[in-house]
Amino acid sequence: MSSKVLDGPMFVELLRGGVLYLSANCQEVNDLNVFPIPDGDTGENMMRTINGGLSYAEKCEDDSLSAVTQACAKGMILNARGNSGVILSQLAAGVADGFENVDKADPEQIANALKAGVDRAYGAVVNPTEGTMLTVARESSEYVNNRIGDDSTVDSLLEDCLAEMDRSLQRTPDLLDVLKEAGVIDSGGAGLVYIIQGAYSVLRGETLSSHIAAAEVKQVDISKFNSDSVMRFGYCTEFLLQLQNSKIYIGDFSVEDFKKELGGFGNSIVCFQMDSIVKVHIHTMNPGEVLNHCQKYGEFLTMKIENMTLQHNSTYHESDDDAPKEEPHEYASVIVATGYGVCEVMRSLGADVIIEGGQGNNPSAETFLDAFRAANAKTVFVFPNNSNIIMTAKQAAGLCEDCDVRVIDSRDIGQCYAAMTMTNYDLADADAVEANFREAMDGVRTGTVTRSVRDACINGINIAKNDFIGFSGKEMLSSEKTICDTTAYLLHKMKAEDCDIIILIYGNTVEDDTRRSIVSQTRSVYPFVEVYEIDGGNIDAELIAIVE
Amino acid sequence: MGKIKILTDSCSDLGKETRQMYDIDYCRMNTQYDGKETPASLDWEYYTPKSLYDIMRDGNRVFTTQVPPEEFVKVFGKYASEGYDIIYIGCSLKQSGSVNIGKSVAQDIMKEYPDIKIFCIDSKHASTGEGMIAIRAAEYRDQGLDAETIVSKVTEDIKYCHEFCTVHTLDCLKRAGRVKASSAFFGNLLGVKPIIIADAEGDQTAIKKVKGRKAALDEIVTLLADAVENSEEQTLFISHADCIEEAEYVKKQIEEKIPCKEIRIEYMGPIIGSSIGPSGMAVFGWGKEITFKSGDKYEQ
Repeated sequence: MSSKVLDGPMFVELLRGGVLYLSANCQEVNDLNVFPIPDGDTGENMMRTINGGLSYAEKCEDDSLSAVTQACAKGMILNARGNSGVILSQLAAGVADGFENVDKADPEQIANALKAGVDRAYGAVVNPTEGTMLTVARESSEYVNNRIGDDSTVDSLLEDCLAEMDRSLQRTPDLLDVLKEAGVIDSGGAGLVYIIQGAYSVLRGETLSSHIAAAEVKQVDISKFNSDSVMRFGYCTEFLLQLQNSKIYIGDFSVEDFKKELGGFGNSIVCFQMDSIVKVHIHTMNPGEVLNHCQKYGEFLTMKIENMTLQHNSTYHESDDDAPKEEPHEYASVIVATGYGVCEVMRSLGADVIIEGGQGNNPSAETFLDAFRAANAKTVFVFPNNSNIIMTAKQAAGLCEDCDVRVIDSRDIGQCYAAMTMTNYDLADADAVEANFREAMDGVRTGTVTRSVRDACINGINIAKNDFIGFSGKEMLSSEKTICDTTAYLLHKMKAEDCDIIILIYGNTVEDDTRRSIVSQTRSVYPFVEVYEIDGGNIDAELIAIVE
Repeated sequence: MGKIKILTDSCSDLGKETRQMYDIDYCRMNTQYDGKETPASLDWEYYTPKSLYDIMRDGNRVFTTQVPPEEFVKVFGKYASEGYDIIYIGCSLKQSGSVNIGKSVAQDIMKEYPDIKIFCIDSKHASTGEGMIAIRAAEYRDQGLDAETIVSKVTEDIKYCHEFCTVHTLDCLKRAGRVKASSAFFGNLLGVKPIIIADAEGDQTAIKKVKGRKAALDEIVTLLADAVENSEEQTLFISHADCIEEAEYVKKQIEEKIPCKEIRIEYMGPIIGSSIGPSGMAVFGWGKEITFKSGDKYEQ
């Protein structure tokens, strides 16, 4: 393919290639990051910035290059993270200015737009530093502008640009001492080169996965994580998921919904779709659950899972290990929960840190201490959500010297839900916030349906192994052969008719048909009650019913 | 002294009867759905409330437009040609740019009719709160005040108009993006209902959460009772989006708690309905000065 002009749709294609290539090399860019602050996030910041640009450009309904680049610039400005992200977004904004009213651009117009981008980026930075991304952008733009001629094509322009960028990047240590001392090239510049490389590859018709395979896995010192180490930062998990017709109807796949589902498993989620391939990046404590979930949609093309605690320990010295990166917040919440659906709901209600745990999986005091630190707040409210965990939480609270930890004695997830929905951090002080949480927990009741593990007789009710049993607190209230009947009697015994809200949290063992009959039966028995459903995931029960 | 016409727009949620009672006309905004633009009639001339809300219940977003310039040209032009001075009380500029469009059209119309004065006022409210301010202007007009005096009095009055609103689900509010609140506020609220007010700057701001619909309906009445002053002399308003039974319930609660001259129930029109979704409910009355701004701590 050798094009004389660049139009809007083609720009989006090139941008996609750039995003993908940068994403594949994101970690390497992170590792180069020594200027201005060696916090190893340049790649991440550039990714989030350019991803924002891509999603805006993709949504742009006008095909003109002017409109698409404007949309891209807007998305990047809105999503810009860190210095590198801001500079990148300003470059994009300048390029978009350069393409103003241009439907399709010839190589000369492209070269001019690149110059406009460089001018704007230099203008936006208070003290432009040479030896950075700015230099790489400027020198390559100058080079391209000098070489532009009648026989130039988009391909030849990008090829020239890339060649000079690479040379410019290699010169960055000569311009910036801190790079030379660290023996690295500039990270932002490197990120920019990856973006252009990705774009150029698309132009040459190379396939996606070949880029990904090219990504190198960095060697780490595995001795930094031993049998006594605490898993604090989870796993950086990245993969390409090939959606499969045999599993889903791909046309109905919504990457936005998919992203929301992933929200229950972890954070730092970057996720985008190209045709039937989905690129996923997530930081999670449980990569296995993420993979199991995603495999419902397709199969994996490539995969990378890295222990971030290990990376952290290899990078940082013990002394600055605990230095918080940001100013502490006033308040934060730490919640113990099981099941990705429940975790997702709690996150959406404002939970800051979630500790995986519950019945039979009680977190340690050390885990709590780590969570308090991660919450990074002056006052931390803790919801243990299990009577067996409250003690540990209180013990950890006593050990914590960094912040004021207040354990709210929530005994189940229902109490936690009731409190979290009424979160109000605008109250006068921590006492008032705590009192508000405690008050909100009053009056909520939680029922649990599980299966009996053996034959038994409780409260005069004969139970066979595998029967369903319904509990509220420690008291068994119902037992039937089906989950529907057990739930119905449980709600009846819990006097659900007196409440306003019923929330049904299903475990992943409950089939869709069963869920439908449970909810329709509940709605018809309690027509004046609002009934909500949550796909709880791997909760430690068949069903949890919260009535309030 | 010249004749004065009081105008408002599709956001004012004043039904035909109320508009006739106070001699108020309105400029139409549009709703947009499926590529089709339809004037937003407060009397539902073009589609039924149910058909609008069914679209929204299916999870789709109905878009809304400002009052288009040509509508202002038409309505301002008509009354100017009949010799009226015009006072247009428009939806809060934080919610719609209609007042600014009105101002720029007014410049042209006033050139054409040099004897006519046109005033465009940002009501800083929406729904029947905006309507109540238009009614106040109409009352001043009927007292024989001139246009300048009406404008200055009404502009002052805006600070004392209270709105308390609640919705059944947050989906439509989130989609329309017209209410200020933290992202945690808009999380998965599961049965929790927000209480929304028109704040001192004209933003629709969520001030607190209440659990359950009935509690939320009771809460807006309690808040109104706390806010209103001289209620015995007032007509209080309720506006609702397709939930008349609940509006009757709210009316009963107000009758029990707030002594007043009259309580009128209005139907939320297509524009407010599109932003707030089915089963939005709001109550309105005149009271103490509103100083609360989005971002302030709300005194419970």
